Amino acid sequence: MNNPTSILGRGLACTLGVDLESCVDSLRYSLPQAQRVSLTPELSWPYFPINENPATAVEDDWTKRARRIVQQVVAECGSEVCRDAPLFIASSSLNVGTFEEGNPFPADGQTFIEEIAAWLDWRGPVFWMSSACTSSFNALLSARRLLDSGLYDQALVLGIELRNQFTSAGFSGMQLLAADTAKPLGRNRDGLVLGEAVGAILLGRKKARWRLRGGANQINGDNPVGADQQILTQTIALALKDAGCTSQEIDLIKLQAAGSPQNDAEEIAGLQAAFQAMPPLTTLKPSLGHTLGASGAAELVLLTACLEAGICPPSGNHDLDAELDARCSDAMPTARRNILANILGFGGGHCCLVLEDTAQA
Amino acid sequence: MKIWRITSRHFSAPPPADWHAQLVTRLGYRPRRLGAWVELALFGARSCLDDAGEENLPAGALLTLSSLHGPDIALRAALVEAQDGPPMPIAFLNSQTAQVLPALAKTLGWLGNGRCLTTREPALALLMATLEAGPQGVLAGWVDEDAPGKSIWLRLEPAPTATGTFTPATFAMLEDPGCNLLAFDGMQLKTAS
Repeated sequence: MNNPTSILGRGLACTLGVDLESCVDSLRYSLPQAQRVSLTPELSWPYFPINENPATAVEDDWTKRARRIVQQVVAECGSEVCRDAPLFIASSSLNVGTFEEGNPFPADGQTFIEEIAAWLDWRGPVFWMSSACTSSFNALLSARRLLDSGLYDQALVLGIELRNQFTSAGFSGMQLLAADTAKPLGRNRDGLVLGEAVGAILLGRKKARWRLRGGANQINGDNPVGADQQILTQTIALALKDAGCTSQEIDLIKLQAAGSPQNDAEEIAGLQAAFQAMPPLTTLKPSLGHTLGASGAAELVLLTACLEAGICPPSGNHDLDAELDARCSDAMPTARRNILANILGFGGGHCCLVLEDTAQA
Repeated sequence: MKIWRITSRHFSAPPPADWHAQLVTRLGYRPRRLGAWVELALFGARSCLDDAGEENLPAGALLTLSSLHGPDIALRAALVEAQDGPPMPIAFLNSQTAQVLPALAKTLGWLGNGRCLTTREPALALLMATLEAGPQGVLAGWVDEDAPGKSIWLRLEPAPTATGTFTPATFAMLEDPGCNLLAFDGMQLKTAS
């Protein structure tokens, strides 16, 4: 294979912390506790805000806070970041939070994308990927294709999902939110817990430890809000073909598993049809919450860092759904070279990526 | 240079005054529970596919949509609604950009790779569409509801054996029916008749 697409840099701000090292460290001890946010005195839901250090966090408005966090996360990607490269912003809610502070709508959606680019002194082309939960994964696939074309040597994917009441209220109105905690694969799972995150992945055309081997994305027109097991099975087959590997070579699966009664069941059924022997499973939702358009980037950043540190992301202590016949691993598998990562759901999206840890080759 | 044949194009910029009536007539039913931005996308995409002589978009084609405004009008309405409590599910769904994808999939009888990828420069979105196109090409759209509105769509298929004299072009020049082939030379859009 010539010119692999590799992960050259990573950055993360989420409910675990505002840098990757502290995020991974915090998982050594316990899972984060969701806070409650309220729309009205009678209506509240659990939420995972970005956990800024109270000693250094500054009380400022939505935009200033967003700028501070985004700059910090991209800086964590390292000095190798080339500002002339393409920048892919992956986000569902974009800057809705600023409208809740009474600020006017900008000229158009791309205005905010260009504002982010200006925060970063970015000179390269700027894209906005908006395919709901799959936004970051789709951005990674687009970035990979642009790198494959030879037009660029680097691309930065930035998943951004920041605080706003509107998204939570919308999910609440659709009765998709959990009452208190997300219970992936749980017997009493009752929905999602949303969270905010900014995750950055610097992709490049040179060898590094983590290689993006391939992936696939499929849109289901029959269900605009949920996953479908058959389409997931098809998407996995396409992703494996694109990655040039077989299902037997997959050592670990990062689930979507957000704690949704229907989607968790669809995902497991789709996986059971795709794998004769189910590889070990893991989920990042109890660690991060569901960070929507940022989830793909945030979860891959955290997962790869956890694997490097030998930490198995905890999946929670809830009772499992015996009918699903699936559980997340309590310990990292010894062999974990090839990882399948799923992001599914809203917008009919089913997106699967295959990552390779070349240190395990 | 990879060469693409423009098998059909739909340039509604602005859309005709009766675009919605045309859509209802073509579909044989009135779309339900969809916002105007999504319906405008359906109108252009369906027309483009009809002009290409395709009832369904093949599974091996990429579907890509670029929109500077997305469902902004629906979002503004839903934000107002959310000041007093959760927005109605339909209002929330219509405020979400990605909901256009399953609506297009359903209407075009398609299951495949699709996404909303927006750039300020339409030719750059077209470059990305050609880079990510499947074996059966791409259906690429540029849709904005805000006045004066537009629903622009191109259906491209790979044309590896096609030949022509390619000259630098702008995105607007793709409206010319005499322009049948396109390619990118690096980042530069080029067309040929």
